[in-house]
Amino acid sequence: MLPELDPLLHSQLRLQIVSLLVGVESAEFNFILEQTAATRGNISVQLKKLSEAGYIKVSKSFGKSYPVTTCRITEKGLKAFDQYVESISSYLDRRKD
Amino acid sequence: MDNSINEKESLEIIRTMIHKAQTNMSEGSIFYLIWGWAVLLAIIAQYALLEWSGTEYHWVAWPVLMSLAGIVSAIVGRKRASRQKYVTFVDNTMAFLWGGFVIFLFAILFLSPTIGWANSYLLVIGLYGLGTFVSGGVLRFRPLIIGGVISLGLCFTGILLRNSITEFTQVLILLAISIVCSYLVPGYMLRAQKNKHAS
Repeated sequence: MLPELDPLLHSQLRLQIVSLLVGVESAEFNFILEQTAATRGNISVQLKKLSEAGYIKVSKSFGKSYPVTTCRITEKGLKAFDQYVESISSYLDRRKD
Repeated sequence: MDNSINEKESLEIIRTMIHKAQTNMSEGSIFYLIWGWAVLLAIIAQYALLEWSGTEYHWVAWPVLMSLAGIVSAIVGRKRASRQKYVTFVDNTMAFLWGGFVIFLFAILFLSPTIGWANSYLLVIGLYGLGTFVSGGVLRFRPLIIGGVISLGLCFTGILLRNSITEFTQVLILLAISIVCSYLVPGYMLRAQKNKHAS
């Protein structure tokens, strides 16, 4: 039987965000915006979903003269990401066979 | 919008995104150069005052130049931090490494009236070596690793031969060799890499 893919990660923008956060300690909202080329509104919605699931932690601080939103992946998010990559890999392996 | 994707696209997204943020190690060259030159100038000043003036305030350049280097580094660091929109694991490791370096440096300075300045300077050489050896390993930059090994070697040699060291200026020469090998040469090599990438 094929492994079930985490529906929270199996979406283009959420997977982009989580993959980006896996490679860093933390990233600002604007960096995610630049790298994903999505709209602010869409990113905000997806961040909220990921945060509510406990996959990422979102914190707000105050920069020079503007608020800064910083995101980092959680232990739960890392585990879910590892599981997702494993599932995708085994799915593709089986398709080759 | 929440686009669904197939498995191949998923892997492609992960592969592309995971390496988007990378530490630009050549950006750090400025700190090696600031501290390298500040320490080297302090050594030269202390050497000159010891050799030719005979003043008991031969150490006076140290607090002045170290404070100056600290202020310049803090300004440069703040500017960089406000420009960079992400923090990598390497950035974090380096911050902890150099934070610990500063704390241990102060410990040596507090201990110096007890163990003597010559011994303290030998420990500082070891500390320079440790800092650049580890940062070279983290950044995978061989000149920093080599500089670190040279400084650690100088520290050990100085400790083993400490009874043969008769003049304080001999320790200053060891410190100068250490700072040139572990800060200035790797610092300029990092900067050359930065310029190469820019052109």
